[in-house]
Amino acid sequence: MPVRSAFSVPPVSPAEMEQMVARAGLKLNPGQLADLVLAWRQIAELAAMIPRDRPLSGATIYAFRLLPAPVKPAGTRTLVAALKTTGRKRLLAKRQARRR
Amino acid sequence: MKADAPPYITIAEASRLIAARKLSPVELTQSLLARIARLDPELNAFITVTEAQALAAARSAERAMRARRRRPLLGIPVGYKDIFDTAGVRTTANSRILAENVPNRDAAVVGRLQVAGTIMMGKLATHEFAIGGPGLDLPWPPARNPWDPRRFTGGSSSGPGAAVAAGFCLGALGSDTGGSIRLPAAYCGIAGLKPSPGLISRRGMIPVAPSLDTAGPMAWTAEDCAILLDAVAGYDPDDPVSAPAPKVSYARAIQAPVRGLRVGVVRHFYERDVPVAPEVLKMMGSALAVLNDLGCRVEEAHLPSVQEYNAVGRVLITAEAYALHEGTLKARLSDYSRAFRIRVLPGALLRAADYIAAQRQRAELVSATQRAFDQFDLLISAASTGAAPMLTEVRADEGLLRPFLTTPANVAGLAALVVCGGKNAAGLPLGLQIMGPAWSDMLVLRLGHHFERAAGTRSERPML
Repeated sequence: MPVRSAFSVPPVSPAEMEQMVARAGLKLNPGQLADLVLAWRQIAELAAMIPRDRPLSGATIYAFRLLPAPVKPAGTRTLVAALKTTGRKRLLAKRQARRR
Repeated sequence: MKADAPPYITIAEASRLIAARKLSPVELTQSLLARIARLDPELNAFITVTEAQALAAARSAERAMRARRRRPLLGIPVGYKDIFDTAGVRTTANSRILAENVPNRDAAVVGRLQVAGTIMMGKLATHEFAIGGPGLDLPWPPARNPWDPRRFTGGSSSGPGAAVAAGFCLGALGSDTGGSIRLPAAYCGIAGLKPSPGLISRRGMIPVAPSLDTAGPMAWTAEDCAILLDAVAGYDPDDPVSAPAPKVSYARAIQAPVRGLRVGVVRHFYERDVPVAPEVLKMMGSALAVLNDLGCRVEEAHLPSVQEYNAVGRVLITAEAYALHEGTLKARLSDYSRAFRIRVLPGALLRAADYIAAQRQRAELVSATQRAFDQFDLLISAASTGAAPMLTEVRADEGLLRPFLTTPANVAGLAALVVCGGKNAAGLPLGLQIMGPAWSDMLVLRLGHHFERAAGTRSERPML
């Protein structure tokens, strides 16, 4: 007998359910299958309540986003490191002397 | 405190007594261990009691107390829902799948509470993987409600609810994906905070649905939750949702008065969307009167229906939980409980389009909810449709069948607290839910704290 739904969920027959379960790669005994038929009806009704007809332009609202950029972006060298590695040691020494 | 003294004490009271060296952490711990040994065989709040570790931690706290090293949580006995990793102590999620699982590292929140000087009393009962239960086919029996052991504690943080109400520990950590801290708080007559997402690290917490999961404190009072929150809140780079939050002392900040706060009553949640029992309506009426007396400006608020939030929440939870367990479900299906299978297996049949539609609708609901906070500082509603049901009446498809009044706060990313709003004629607790926008955790605790004091709902403990 087909499973009936209160919302706009098409009824799913036990044969169709067996097919869906097999496609999902699950092996269920008859009791487990009966439980899933009932639970699926409930979750399918809930899923059917969720609006679908949205404009394509609204799709960005749930999109992946990175965290705000850190104060010092990755890969940025400090001034001291830059001076050391570019060989301008004299300038560095001059700055240190000025600090002293 | 003498070993025969009543063990009922709040964190705030115990903290003051320990700081004044009038309460021994060792004697407090011993008295609670004795109480657990006497009463827990009936209540099943614990999966594992860590007696030896508790006594060792209590002796360490006692030494710190004598050395006058003051900390608000020094020597305070706590428990953890058995989904938080504890180094060297099994963490089972009440599942055969993890029955022998012994983590080698503490969850972030466990580490923070250890550093704060708390004493771990043990690991507390939970639904299987914080979603499948209660059930008699789980490795450990369901926790029972200290107000009436024939009744349900609420779930999935069933052990924390029972343990705090029974006075087995002064505070506990639970988790909340759709109401799992707040329903046990309501049914067991305690306080429980579902914090803003990102305020408390979830690193080392076994997930249900990572887009909705939060970890949070449970204790006898809102003030005790604030004291626990002071220790566990904070940024953690190991939790991708974690965010830097303003550093405040929640315990101090909640003492500020609430006069003038704009409180919206989401009456349609509990009168029309999910009609509650007459005793809950009566409790809500009394609670509104208390809030008016406190000087709050109380008016009616409107949000999308509970059903709209619930549809989104259930689809997300089911899809995400299935995705996490798919491999193990295929390999060891019969090792899971029936309640877990009923609540999670439908995720195998949901389509990617269903999940995306739920995420898009969630963003709409977040915006709609946020607009309500242009008018109000906080929102309130009932926490549950009635008092704790009999354990035998709880169905395996609970949550799918009828929406929870708690799920909107998860879907909308709110801070939400449940405190005891009053009791029904049979003496069973009823929960009041206080909700605020993200990062308003201090404000929801503040209103909860003042409400508890004004309503006088914290004076009576279960008769055990």
